[in-house]
Parts: sequence; C-alpha cells; structure tokens
Amino acid sequence: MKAIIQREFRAYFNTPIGYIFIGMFLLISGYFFAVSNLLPKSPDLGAVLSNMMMMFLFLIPVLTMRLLSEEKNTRTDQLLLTSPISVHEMILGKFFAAALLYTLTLCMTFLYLLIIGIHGEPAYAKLFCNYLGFILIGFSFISVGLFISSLTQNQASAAISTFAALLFLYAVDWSRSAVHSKLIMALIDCINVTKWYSEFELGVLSVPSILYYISFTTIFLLLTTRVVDAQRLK
Amino acid sequence: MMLVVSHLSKHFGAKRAVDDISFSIAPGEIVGFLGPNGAGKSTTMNMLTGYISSTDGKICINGIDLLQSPKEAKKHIGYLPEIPPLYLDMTVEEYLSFVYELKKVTLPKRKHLNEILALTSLTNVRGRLLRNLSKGYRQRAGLAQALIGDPDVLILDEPTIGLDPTQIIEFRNIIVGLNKTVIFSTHILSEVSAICSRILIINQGKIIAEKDCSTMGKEDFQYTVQFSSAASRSMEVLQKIEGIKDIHVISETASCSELSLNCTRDIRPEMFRALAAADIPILLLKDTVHSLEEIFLETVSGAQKEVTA
Repeated sequence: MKAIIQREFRAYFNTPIGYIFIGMFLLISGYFFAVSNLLPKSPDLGAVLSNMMMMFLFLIPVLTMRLLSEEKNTRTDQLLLTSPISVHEMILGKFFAAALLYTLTLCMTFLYLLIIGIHGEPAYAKLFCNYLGFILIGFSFISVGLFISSLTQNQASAAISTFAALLFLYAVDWSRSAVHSKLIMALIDCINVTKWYSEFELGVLSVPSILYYISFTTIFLLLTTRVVDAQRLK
Repeated sequence: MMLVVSHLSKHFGAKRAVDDISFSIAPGEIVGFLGPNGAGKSTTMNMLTGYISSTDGKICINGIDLLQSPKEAKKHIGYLPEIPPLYLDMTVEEYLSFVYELKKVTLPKRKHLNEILALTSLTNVRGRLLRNLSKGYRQRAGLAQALIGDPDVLILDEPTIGLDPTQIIEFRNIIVGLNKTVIFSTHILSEVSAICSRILIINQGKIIAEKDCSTMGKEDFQYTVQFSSAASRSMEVLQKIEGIKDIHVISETASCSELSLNCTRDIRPEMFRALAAADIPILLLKDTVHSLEEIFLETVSGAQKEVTA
C-alpha cells in the first residue's frame, strides 16, 4: 500500500494535476480571503470556509479522475492486479494519496489563520472543528470520485460524472421542502453530506457526524473494491 | 512441476474463450504458446497470472494454488502483458523501484535493480522518462518489471511484437539466458522453433496439439531423390532396400527422374551404397522435414474441420 501511496502522490506532481489542484485552490481561496477578511478587516473565516466547500465540488474531481480510469486505459492495472497485493490495498493506497494531497493543500490555508492571529484573536477551537469537518467531507468526496473513476476508462467522463455526483450530494437538501414522504426524506438525510457538516461549522465536535463521514467514505471505498473485483470476475 | 493447469475454462457469456485446457510445465522449460489471433492465448495468460478469474479449473504455481493463496502464488510469477504496463510519467529507475516495493521483494534493492537493469540493457537509460523511450526500450522495461523479485515462472504475452529483427534476437537471447521457467505466446512461428523446448498449439480456446520442438517434424522419414536414370531402373534398385513404405514418381524424363520416398527409418546410407553399386548417380537428396508453419496450419485446419464436421 505504501508503494501505491508514494507512486500516486508523486504522479500528481509528474503530471500537471497536482499543480492545477493546489494552484486553483489557493488562487480562489486567496481571493475569498482577501475580499471577506483582508479588505473589510474581519477576523471571521466562516465565509471563506463555506465558499471553499463550493470549490471542492469542482476541484475534487480533478484529484480523483485519473486514479483508476487511467490504470485501465494504459493497462497498468495488469501490473497492480497481478502483484502480490490485494484489491483493498490498491484502493486504499489510491485513496490515501488523494487524501494526503487534499489535506496538505487545506493546511496551506493555515497561513490565513496566521495573518488573522497576528492582527486579532481567531476562535481557534471553532476553527479546529471547521477544519476537521472539511477534512472529513473532503475524504467523502474523494471516495465518491474514486468510485466513479473505477467505472470508466476515460478521465474526462470520470471528472464530469464526479462533479455531477458531488453537486447532487451538495444540492439534494434543497429538494427537502418539496418532499412529503418520510421515507424519501430519511433517504435524503442519508446522502446529504453537507448537512452533517453544519455542526462542525458551529464549532461542535459532533461524534455522530464524524461517524457518518467515516461510514460514508468506507462504503464508497468498499463499493470501489467491489467494482474492481467484479471487473476481474466477470 | 513448476506450473500445473488443470481443466481451466473461461466463459464470457456464451463465448468459451478458454475451454477446458490442461497442461503442466517442468522447471526450466521454455514453452511456446502458439495460436491464431483470438485463440485464447491472452485470456489464458491473464488467468495464469490472476489478472482475471477463471470460470472453472485449477492453477498451481510451484505447488501453490492460485485461487486459495493468490498473494503467495503471485510472488512466483513475473508477467509481461501484451501492452507493457508502464507508467509513462516515471523514469525507468523510479518505475522499477516502484515495482520492487509493490511486489514486496526482500532481495537487496540496489543490487537487484542494478542486475536487472544490466541484464535488460537499460542501464544507460535508467534516468530517462519511460514516455521518451522507443518501443524496444519500453518492451525491455516491461521485461525488467517482470523479472523483479526473481520469480520462478515468467509469463510473456507476445513479447517480441513490434520489435525490429535485431531487437527480437536480443530479446530472445535474454529470455534463453535467464534459465527460468518461461511461457510465452506468439504467432511468429520461427520464434518458437528458435527458443522453445515445447509448444502448445491453441485454437478456439482448446489445446489442439502439444509438440516437442526437438523431435518435431522428424517423426517421419520422407525424402525427395533425383537420379540420373529412368524411374523404373532406380525403383528396381530401391525396392531391395528394407524400410521403404511407398514410392511416388514426381517427375520423369528418359535420363532423369525424381522420386518421393516415404520410409519407416533413415535409409539414406544404404540407398547411397545400393545406387552407387548399380551405377545410378544421385543428383539430389532432400530430407522433407515439415516446417513449423505446415504443422501449425495442418493442426489448426484439421481441428477446424473436426469442429465443423
């Protein structure tokens, strides 16, 4: 698994993908930080953080699109699947590589905290919860992207489908008012990834939310494993 | 036995890509897997390496069941698929180092990688990106990858396809020099006779013939002989020699004749003496060995006739 994490992580920087992901993220979040904190001299990072969620909807697909689709396309999956490693290890390796890059990129925004810290007193405890929530929600998005990447051989279709799927998860809450069936409402709550973030946003270290995100990610990783296995067994 | 395959099958829906094949390979043997395109060669190799599952049957590598302990069994296999599984964004050395880690090899890393680089003549391109290498070098990198971890069995799927004649010969020499159990598939027949000890001919998912390369085409004794005499005279002499099954006249003129002899043993020395005694000069004597092409076409078309009949 370690070998796969290393390879995938390095591959982000052997290709433009890693630079695009980090560059775009820092550019846009820097802009948000400038307009909502620096210019109005506000210490509240809330606006920046909630805008970041939107950014991840279209940046996470960039991160996950080639993880498995590219392997099938170039037939390098033949190397991985004939090596003495299990499919689980392979999927986890890829997931952790993307998760690592995501987390490191997120950590770069600590610079904003530093700037605010110099000039004022940020609510560190609340921010800790915010960041934890972000890491967990990002991992969930990555697992969805990884799953979709396993379904196709084409990076572009993986990226577009992942974007659509994440947008759906993000916006599914909006349909709540139109739904009256209890069952469907419960179903919406199950897949409403952003709703579970609201507690972190308020600065609550919510155990159910943590468990929700861990389960969500695990389910999609298991599904990915099943897809890869099924393709070998068909 | 290094590799034992029994009753292996693979069905894709109604299509039987591989249909109940069995064979075994002894340590150190080089076996050619021969067949027309779409015969089931790659499917069989993909099953042997655990890339795809089999519908039925059993594969044992060095005594380890591939289905029961896949991780353990896969450690004994080096696989070079038809398209070498290269990460083009890596350098040769990075790539081989990744494969080393992936296969969880315990041999001393630097020494092992250097040996493989030298063996496959990749040492001078070790720092170059795989993307920038030519087809021949990429194929060598593919072979190098298969050799990592010093596996007992090498499975090579059409390893020389797309290489130029010099590269093909180099590649063959590397394979022969490895002293490993090797299975390789090809549809280049001269390749098989050049390096294999045995061939398995596969067609429509079945093994239709298994031949030993050293005796291949030598089971029957057929000769074409040209004499400087009329056919009737030379046939008179030949009939006294034991071991000739039948004689055909291929062509005949008043002073020269050409016959085809079908014998049960090698009668050439006796024939020479008898004809010399009768003062009939031999103008030409040719051993009609069936070429691999003929054997292959005969077997494949024979099997197809059986299927249609």
